[in-house]
Amino acid sequence: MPVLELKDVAKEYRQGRVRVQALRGINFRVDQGEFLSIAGPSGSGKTTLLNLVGCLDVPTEGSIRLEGRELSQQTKTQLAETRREKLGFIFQSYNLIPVLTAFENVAFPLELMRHLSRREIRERVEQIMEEVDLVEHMHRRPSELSGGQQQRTAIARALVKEPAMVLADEPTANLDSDNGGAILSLMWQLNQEKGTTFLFSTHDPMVMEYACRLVTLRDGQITEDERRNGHVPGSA
Amino acid sequence: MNLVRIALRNLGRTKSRTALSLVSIAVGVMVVILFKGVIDGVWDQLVTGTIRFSSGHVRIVDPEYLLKEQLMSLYYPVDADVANQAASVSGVVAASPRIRFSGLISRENQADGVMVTGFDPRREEPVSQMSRYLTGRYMERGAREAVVGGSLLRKQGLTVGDRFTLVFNTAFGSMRGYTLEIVGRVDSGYAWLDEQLFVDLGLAQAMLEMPGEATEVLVMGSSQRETKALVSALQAGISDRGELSFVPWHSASEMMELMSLAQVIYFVIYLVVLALAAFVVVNTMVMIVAERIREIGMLAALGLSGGQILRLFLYEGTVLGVLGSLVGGLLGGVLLRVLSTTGITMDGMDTIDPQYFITPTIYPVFSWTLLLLMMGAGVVVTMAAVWLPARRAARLEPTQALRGEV
Repeated sequence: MPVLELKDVAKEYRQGRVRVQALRGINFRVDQGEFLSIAGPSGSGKTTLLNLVGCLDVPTEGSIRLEGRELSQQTKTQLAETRREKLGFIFQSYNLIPVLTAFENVAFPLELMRHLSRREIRERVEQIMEEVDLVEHMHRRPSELSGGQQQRTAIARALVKEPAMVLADEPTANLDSDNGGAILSLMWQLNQEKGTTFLFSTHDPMVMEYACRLVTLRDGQITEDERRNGHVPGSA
Repeated sequence: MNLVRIALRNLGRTKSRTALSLVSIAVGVMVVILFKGVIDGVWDQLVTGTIRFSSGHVRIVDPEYLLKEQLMSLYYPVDADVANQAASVSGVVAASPRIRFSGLISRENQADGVMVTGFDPRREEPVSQMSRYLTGRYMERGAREAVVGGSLLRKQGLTVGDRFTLVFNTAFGSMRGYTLEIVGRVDSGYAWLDEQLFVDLGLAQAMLEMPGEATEVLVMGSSQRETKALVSALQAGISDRGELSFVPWHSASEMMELMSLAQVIYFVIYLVVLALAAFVVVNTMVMIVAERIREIGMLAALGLSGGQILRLFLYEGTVLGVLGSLVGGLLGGVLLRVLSTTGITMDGMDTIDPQYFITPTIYPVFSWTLLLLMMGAGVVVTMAAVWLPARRAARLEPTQALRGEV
């Protein structure tokens, strides 16, 4: 069973009196463990697609299934629950909660899930912090961390609940190339080790280089869906 | 739990703004506590004075007397024995028959108008407790003696032990003069009392040719809250005396009725003062929501429901409300406690009609109930003020919020 399946998905917006067809006839599926990048110029529909897949919005037409569950008919509360239980998000500008420490930021999604004990939460957070190499800094607040450290915290937060899929919107856009490369390398490594499915929206050639599948959008339609070997860190 | 933690820490993000909100709520709660305490003090004084000196819990009069009371007519008396009958009615603690009339104090070439009340000190004491303000002694039964208000004594240049002549009209309209000895003085702070003259009821009946009669009977029950039942009991117990009016204390004067209405208006004013204080909180919360749009989007992306986002902002508002109300309640409570002992002397209060029983010094009423009620109101009004911006945050579309669009 695919992790994600989109059939004839369309999304139309109204901007004042003008109707904008952001996506039309989108069909594709994502399998478990894919490291997939959605590329395309500005206005091609990347962010809209990511929003639909991330349960932040619903399609005007078509069907989106996440782990076999139909999303297009879900209520707002059900969509919030799906985001809480099934999805991890990584944003361009990190979007950490500024008043919480790195540790607390990572623990936050687990606390929302409510079925874990404090000890389990602590163990899982400590483990993921070790994996993203932030143990030394985990009791600092975001303002006391560098951009790269903040994005690693965001990655830990996305992965700590072992989601069905991690959605990353331009995750390297605010980082210099060294930090961007390090972050991509980390996500690649986690994808390989844990088999977590990653779906990126990007214009960054480096991200595309890492992707083992590149879906290109133009004017709201898929123009190319290329499967590749992807980049193995250190092999370039 | 984590939402409460975030809410608490969020308050520390802009300390000056949080402090401003706290100060505004604290000042609002403090002002309302002090204001309500003073109003309660005025109300308490008005009610206590009216009941004890003018109306009792219930006043029994002839219906015609009620219509012509301003004239202090002696033509519509009630049988003084009505007081004995009333005293035997269940729920009655005391009943005092009185004769109220006007006269002139005549000294040398001068004659000044004066109000006179004739009562039996023994029966009057449980009603008015006038002995608290009395220097000297009460008048003896039937003796040509008087107790005089301190202000009146000053105006007349008289003192205890002096004699003066009281000129008055009898119930039959003939003019008479009695020379009375001053045996006591009353200094209560109430102009109504301090400018009056008091004689024994038996003497008044003889002077006015009204044997066995009174112009009114004041009845005291166990509590002013029981007045309605007391009126019913008196009506049932004194049904053989012809037509009588049983006037409850709250109908004793226009001021009482106005004050009852004013209590409702003041309640609205308290809420308005608190709402004005909460306006600063609304402003703060609107700014906070606008500043944290992307954060709200991120929280929604993490899976927080609209209800949880609403709660997050409500918690912030509640903490502001609780802390502000605590500080305001503490300051207001301490100030009110002090003022309730020292009193507040206000210029111009002595120009208010003496029948309204308001003294120049008002003693605000301190009560824990008032304190807790106003602190609770502070919290509720703040939460209500926070509700709209919080709901706005909760209703934002996650995609819209992530783009930073309000």
